[in-house]
Amino acid sequence: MSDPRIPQRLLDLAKQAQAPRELSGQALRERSGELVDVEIQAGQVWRARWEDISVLVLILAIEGRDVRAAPVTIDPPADDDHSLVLEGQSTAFGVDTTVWAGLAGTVPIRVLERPVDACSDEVIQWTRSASEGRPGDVPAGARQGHLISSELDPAALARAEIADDLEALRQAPGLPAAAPGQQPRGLASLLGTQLDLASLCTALDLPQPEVMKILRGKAPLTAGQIEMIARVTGLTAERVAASVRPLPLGLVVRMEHPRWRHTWQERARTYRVSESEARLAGSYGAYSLAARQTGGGEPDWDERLRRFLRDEDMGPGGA
Amino acid sequence: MICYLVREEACRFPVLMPGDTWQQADLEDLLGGFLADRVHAVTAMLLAQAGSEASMGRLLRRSIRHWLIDQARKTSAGALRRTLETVLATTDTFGQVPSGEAGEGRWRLSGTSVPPWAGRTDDLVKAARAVPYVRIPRWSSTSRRPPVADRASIVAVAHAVLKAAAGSMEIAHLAAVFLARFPTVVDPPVVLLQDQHDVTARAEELTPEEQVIAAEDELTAGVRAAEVAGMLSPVERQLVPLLADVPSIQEVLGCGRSQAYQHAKRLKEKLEQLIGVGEDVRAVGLEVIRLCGGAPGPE
Repeated sequence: MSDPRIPQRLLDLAKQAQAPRELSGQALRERSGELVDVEIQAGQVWRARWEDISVLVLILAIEGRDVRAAPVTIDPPADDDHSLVLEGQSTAFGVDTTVWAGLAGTVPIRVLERPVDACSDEVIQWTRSASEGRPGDVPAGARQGHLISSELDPAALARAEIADDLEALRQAPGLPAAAPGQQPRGLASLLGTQLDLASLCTALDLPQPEVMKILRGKAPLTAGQIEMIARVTGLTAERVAASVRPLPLGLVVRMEHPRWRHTWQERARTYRVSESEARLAGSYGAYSLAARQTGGGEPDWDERLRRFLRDEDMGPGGA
Repeated sequence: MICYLVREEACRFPVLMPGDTWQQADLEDLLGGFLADRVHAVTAMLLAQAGSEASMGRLLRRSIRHWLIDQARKTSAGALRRTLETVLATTDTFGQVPSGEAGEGRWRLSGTSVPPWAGRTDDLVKAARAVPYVRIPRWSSTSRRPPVADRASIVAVAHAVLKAAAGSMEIAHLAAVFLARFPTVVDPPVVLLQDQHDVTARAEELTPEEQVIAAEDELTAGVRAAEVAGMLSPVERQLVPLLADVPSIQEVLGCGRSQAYQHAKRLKEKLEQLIGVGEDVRAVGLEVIRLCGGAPGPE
């Protein structure tokens, strides 16, 4: 029901808002496929989001755990001379859209949420070139943006807001990834003969298998657990925190892929934790499960995570 | 949600929602304007970009704020603010507080390191009004807004205001002081009169320009009144303050009631001829009464 205090003429105006058909869930699936199967590619326009900050980005290149991307905006209408304004009919959005080549930079893959559109090769090429300071010919169906003559111009404010949002996205917490040659000592190694498993189980109020994961450095520790272990063992909190092994890079790359974001978000809601905490716990779960596997080569981390989730769902507290 | 956000954001723009004259209809107009202008783009933006309720609220708020900025810039107050921004940014006398310092982005006098201002606006308006020789250029264009004052005068007034503030000021604060100092640049407001509300269009205190005009009017009326009084006989000057008091006229002239009426009538007709017609007829008449030794009455 609508608010009776709102005049009918305003409600009629609001009803004029027709959602672009190209942005419906079905149209998105038809264009990009199911999210679990999607692969990140240059030319795709993704929604990048972390908590309440969301930005559309045009992928220009994939660089490890990051993509090189230019922000894309639909509203407010703003542009600068390093940007390309795409006409409505050349995008899925149906209205003029600005690609800010001058703000292109790295964006962590972990904040990509879903693809919403794709740009032509000409637009990608122009954006890449413009981001390096040498824009080429403006593609058909687009125009180059206008110079912002003063920092007091509203377009300058819009540009600054986008830059701030991108910076906030870059600060989104990632998984701890092992650097080549990095061999941290597990808690069991640090304690040596002084290890008292029973007292640790009691102090942490955890079953023995969970404590064993902690001793091997294969389970993340909360701040409270670090403090408790330091108190029981006499180790400094810094040494206890450093005993947690970082995750293998291959695992991190898979767990930070947008195909798993929906899973992390669902688990965050279920367990009333943040998305990053849900991802950290799930990733270490997959890591510790993989440790029981034998054989050489890079494990199939996606499969390990699926198994971990299945096992957990069937176990106590599982959905 | 849009209605709520428009109301919240519009409160940041006094020029769009002046506190003392704001009405529900103003909010509905703003909401209607936003929907008419941006509904298609904002719908597409939210569908594509908002991934959660929190992000949707943030994006919608930002769209509304930018639209309100555009609307505010279209007003006379917005034009004044842009003029101020340009003058401040291109005059060495002024500088912005750099990042990392208290009041980052505010304006202050160059070479000072004053804290952010937090005083009374009235004090700054007085300082602005005390600046002498403010020049307002002649303006004949009917399509462009007249300038608030010439550049040198704007610089002088801004300097006086910042000096009186002894602190760094937001551009919005400065614009508010200038609007109070130069109220004639403000667009005439459209105000719906309500039975239960006393609507004050503006402060009653005269601006310096209005004070000058009033003084000139007063002088002109005084000169004219002196001329009129000089053309009256001594007896007529004695009767002027008594025109509404027939018994007193009888006493002065030593005549009967009907003769006193006749004298009063002739004197009134003479005064009307001498004073003539015009905007200042009332002021001249009152001054003539005063010159003839009477205390001007209400009429």
